[in-house]
Amino acid sequence: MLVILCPYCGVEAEETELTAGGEAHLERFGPSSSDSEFENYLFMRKNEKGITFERWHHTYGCGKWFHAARCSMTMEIFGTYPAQTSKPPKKLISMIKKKRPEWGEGK
Amino acid sequence: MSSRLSTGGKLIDRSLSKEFMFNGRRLKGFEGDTLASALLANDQVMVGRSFKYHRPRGIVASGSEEPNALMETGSGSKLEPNQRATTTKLFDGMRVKSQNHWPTLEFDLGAINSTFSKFFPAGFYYKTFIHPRFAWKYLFEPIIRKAAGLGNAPKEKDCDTYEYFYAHVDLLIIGGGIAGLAAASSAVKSGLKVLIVEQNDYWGGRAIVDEINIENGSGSDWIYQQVKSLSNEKNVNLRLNMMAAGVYDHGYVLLHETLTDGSNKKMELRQRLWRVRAKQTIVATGAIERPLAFAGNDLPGVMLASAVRDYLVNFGVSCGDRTVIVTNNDDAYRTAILMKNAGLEVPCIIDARPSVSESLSKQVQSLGIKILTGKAVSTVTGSKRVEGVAICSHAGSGEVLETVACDCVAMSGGWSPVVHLWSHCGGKLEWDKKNYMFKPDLTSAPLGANGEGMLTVAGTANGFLISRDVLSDGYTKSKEIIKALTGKVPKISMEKAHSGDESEILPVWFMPQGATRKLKSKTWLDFQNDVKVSDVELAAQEGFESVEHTKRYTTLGMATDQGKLSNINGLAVLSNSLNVSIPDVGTTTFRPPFQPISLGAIAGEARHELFKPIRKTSIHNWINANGGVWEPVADWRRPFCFQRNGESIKEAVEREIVNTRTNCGILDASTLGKILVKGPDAARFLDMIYTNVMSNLKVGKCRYGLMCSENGFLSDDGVVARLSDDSYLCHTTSGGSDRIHAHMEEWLQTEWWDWKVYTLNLTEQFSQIAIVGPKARQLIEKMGVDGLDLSPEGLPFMGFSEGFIAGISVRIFRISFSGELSYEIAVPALKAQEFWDLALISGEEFEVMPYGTEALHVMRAEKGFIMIGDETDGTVIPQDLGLDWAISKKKEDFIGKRAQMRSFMKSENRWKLVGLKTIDPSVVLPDGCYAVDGESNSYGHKNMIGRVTSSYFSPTLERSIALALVENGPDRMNEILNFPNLDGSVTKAAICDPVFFDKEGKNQNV
Amino acid sequence: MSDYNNSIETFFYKGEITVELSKPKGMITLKGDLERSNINAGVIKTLELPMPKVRTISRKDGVQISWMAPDELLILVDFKKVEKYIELLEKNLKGEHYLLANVSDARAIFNLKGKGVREVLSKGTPVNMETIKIDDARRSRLGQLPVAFWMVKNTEVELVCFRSVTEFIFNWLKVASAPNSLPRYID
Repeated sequence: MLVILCPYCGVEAEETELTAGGEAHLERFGPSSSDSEFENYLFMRKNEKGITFERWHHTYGCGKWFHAARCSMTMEIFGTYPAQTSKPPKKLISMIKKKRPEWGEGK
Repeated sequence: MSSRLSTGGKLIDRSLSKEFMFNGRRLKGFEGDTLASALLANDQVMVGRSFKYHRPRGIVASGSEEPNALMETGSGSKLEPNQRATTTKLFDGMRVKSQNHWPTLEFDLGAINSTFSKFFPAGFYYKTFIHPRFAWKYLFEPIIRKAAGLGNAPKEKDCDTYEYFYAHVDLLIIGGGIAGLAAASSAVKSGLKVLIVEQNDYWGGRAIVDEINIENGSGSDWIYQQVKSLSNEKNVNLRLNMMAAGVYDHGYVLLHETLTDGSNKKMELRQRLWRVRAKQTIVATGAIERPLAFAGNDLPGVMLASAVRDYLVNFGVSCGDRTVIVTNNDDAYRTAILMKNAGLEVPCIIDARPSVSESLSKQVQSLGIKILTGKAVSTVTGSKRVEGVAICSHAGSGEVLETVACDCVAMSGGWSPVVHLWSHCGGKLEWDKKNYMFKPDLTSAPLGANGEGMLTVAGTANGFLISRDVLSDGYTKSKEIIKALTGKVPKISMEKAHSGDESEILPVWFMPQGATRKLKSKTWLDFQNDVKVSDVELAAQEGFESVEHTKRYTTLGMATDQGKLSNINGLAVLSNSLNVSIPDVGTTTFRPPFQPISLGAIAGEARHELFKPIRKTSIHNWINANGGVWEPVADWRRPFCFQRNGESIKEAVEREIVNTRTNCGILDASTLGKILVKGPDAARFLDMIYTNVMSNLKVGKCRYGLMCSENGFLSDDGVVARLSDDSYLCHTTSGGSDRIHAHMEEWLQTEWWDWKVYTLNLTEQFSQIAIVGPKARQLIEKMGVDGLDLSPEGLPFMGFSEGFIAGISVRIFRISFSGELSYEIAVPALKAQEFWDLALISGEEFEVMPYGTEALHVMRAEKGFIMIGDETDGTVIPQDLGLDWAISKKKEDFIGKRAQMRSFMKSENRWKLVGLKTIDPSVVLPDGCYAVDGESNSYGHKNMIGRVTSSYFSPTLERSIALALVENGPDRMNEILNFPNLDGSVTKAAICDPVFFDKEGKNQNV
Repeated sequence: MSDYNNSIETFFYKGEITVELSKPKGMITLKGDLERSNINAGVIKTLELPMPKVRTISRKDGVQISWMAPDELLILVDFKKVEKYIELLEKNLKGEHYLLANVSDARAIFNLKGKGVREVLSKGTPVNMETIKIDDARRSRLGQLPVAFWMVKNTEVELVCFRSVTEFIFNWLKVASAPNSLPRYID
């Protein structure tokens, strides 16, 4: 049962206070997109074994959505950051690279 | 026979005697006894029957690993099945029954299975009951269910209470033996918050029994001193009777605390489930002795050598007058010494090892106990209890050399560290080649949130079997953990335990080495599930090479003891059969809980009225007192109808509808969701959220809107009111308010975070009271209005105003879900009851009546209005429901627009909303029934062409009506469809317009 | 005319702690960018209280500001003065983007008093109650329901829940504070 730091209110929230929201940084495709673009956006997920960027909602708490970088194998949490961004912070990326040199971002 | 000795027993108080009933017999024990020690003290050696063959079974162990002694204790609302006698405290007046036998423990008809045991090999059920198919359900399963199984489920409600407790610690130490206590004392000065827990009701673990020396004193004194000084420390919490059930991600540990013994006949707090978050955990859970596998090792009186010792030292109970020891290691010699010193006979020690040399054996010999080296048990003799052992050479096939009479066999096959908790969250194991056991591989610890190890193992659980090493490992591991937690290396005075060396263990997985098949088929591995050496060998022979497959095929280790005694021996037999090494066979996965925990503890406080939250409106108590028949609507309770004396529910519903349509009805619509959306971008935002345009809605006006998911499906509907230029009040369905508010916030926070919009769920701030019917306007005017013009021009349909009614501040919406003249009045929730009462008083002359949800449903169906959850099921788009008029063609984008452009969303063959009129107007179609076209598909299934979504008897129209989704329905007006019923009959209904009543809307436009 | 505010059911229980439903309080939700100086100043000016730090409250003379989220405050005032304060806030926040709403009827407040208050709450909330100090505020869950609470004294907590579940929360608190049910783990 995970414990994840909410970057908004600073609470080390327990999983029961949170709601998982799936893969982070999806780009929305609207009415002008092709069928395959729309399909990719709506249904296709990376489901990475290893480092994954995902959305969490502090439901029983400040009510904010945030993002977490987590290893889906070991459950290690590398860091969390606000959801108002389209990609993970550079600092976090370099920290992960340092800890996991074999990890290639965005593969 | 087994008996109580006149002296001894560290854990019992002989001045307090306890009476208890076992299978109707009155027996005596002492304060401090477990149920098991008390039974043995009364020579009750046989305590149950095995699962499959109904063989007589006795107590084997003294702790949580006990496979046989499962009892039913208490009665009525205090009945608890499957209580382990070895861990159940005895209390005065306890009523105990043994399980799994019929008619009695001594004479069990099921034991006939044992006679035919060669017809019940591994996989028997799989092989036998596969044909004929129908027989499993009607013949085999009912019989097997009756014959197999443990205790009976209680028939009465458990009268006790249970609860959770959340605790947060720096360091959790599991196990209160010498390693655990050493770790706790080391942590005292670090200032860390420490919790140390022990599953027994005393500290010290095995060190209490196996007198060891620490520094210059006895182990018992050392333990006493440690506990005493730890109890005075503010940062250390010591807890007995607390079993660590499971270890989970990020330092989450479940602890199960037993608070009372069940002796109290009244309701009491029985167990507490601790949900602990530990930064670090030290597992010091010791080890479990392994049985030896030899023919007849399941007879009552064959016990673990350490258990025999435990009963003697802790409870002053002798497990037999003549005890033969069977072993492959030195530890069992301690049992021989203690028994002999207690004045009991130990005819011989049967040691499979070819020679022994160390100090323990010398001590034994000096007491005059014969050591038979290189020997084994060929078979144990006796039928319901041990009568003797037939001895053979371990090297041979079991040819009997001599027979020794005895009434107890104490066996030891070595020890297995309790690695369960280490393994629960990913800790790996390694094979210890010296001691022939699996122990934690400390290089692969379970990881915490920071990617570092969160748990370590100390003492015997870490594979140290000699007290000297156990204590020292307790200190060492504690030191490492404190350093990890504080960053500093703590100064610790490491006290030393003294113990001599022991000679090496000989790996013996069954005896004798060349045992015949006949012997092996009487040699038990898993006592509770009746798995024998021959079963595992058969599984290997039949190709079950994976240990996980063998486990499931033979059920080895799948009983309630989770293979605590059987797993290693079973693995070894499998490895022997497959001719590979034990570590190459691998182990099965350890899963929580370590010990079974009660369903009561898992449920915690969530029982009875706390089982599930119920939301109540401000009018709840009035409704309750005035004939309201409750139905759940999401977490709310709403009245289905208001039943009057002598009235059926159907009559009540019809009365409410007729009265509302002819006079006036009043409805508590408070559960309706109300979300305030405010900001300069509110209009733009709602244009994305709703399928229709909200930005051009005029202030003071309402509009019905639809919300879809990004996948295009209709998700919620409701009326939107524009309060001001930059603020809207969005009404949602009763069940939808939290979900839709969350949906709005998600889009605002994660997609359009630069838009200036705030939302707030105001559902509970306002109660919404609907006054509906031809006389609604008169009623409200009678109540007294201030600042409101209720005339058709002053407050037209789909308008709203703010003002006062009867002196109460209100927002009044002229919207209708019934097709009648209708006002929905939002009042502050704390004023709602007052408003309701005043409306009823003023309404008397207009014959106002409260109505419930069913009347609401019927009236909306008469008007062809859809209901989210009835006409929608997550696969329906607004276009299916003829709601194209509410989908903007002008807007470039809204949530769901792209999805609705997909080809199958535009298909001609989609099921679309229509009305249905049964040919026989008195017949009401069942909700959810399907229409068929008479053809079948390639699988022989009937083609379904539609489904009923709402179906009622309409008192207004005096006939049945239904709404349905039918393939291409709107183009099939007047067509008659067939709806097959469960009884084989068919109901015929004609497709019609879904608006059954007042299509032109003259009732509401007045 | 009878005063319906006073006829709200009474909820009172004395076990390990005293559980009591408070009389209605004036509650106002303010959503806005609390980092903006105009909003900050408007709030401080209206309520004559300092802006509370993250997860705390600031209070004086029956007026309280509770931090709820980075963009949300719960303001507590006398029940009868809510409209007056809303008017004042609107005046002092003029020109800003914010949301203000009276939520006095939407929430219920329980007063919990007694030495065991931290332990009672620890039966239902994953919050580490040992670290909660006076004037600390938290939003979490109690059993199956969302709640917010703040520590008024070392032995006193005010707990806010939705009005519709008042009875459920009361029953929960009653069970959790049954006599002799505390683990005596937190001193």
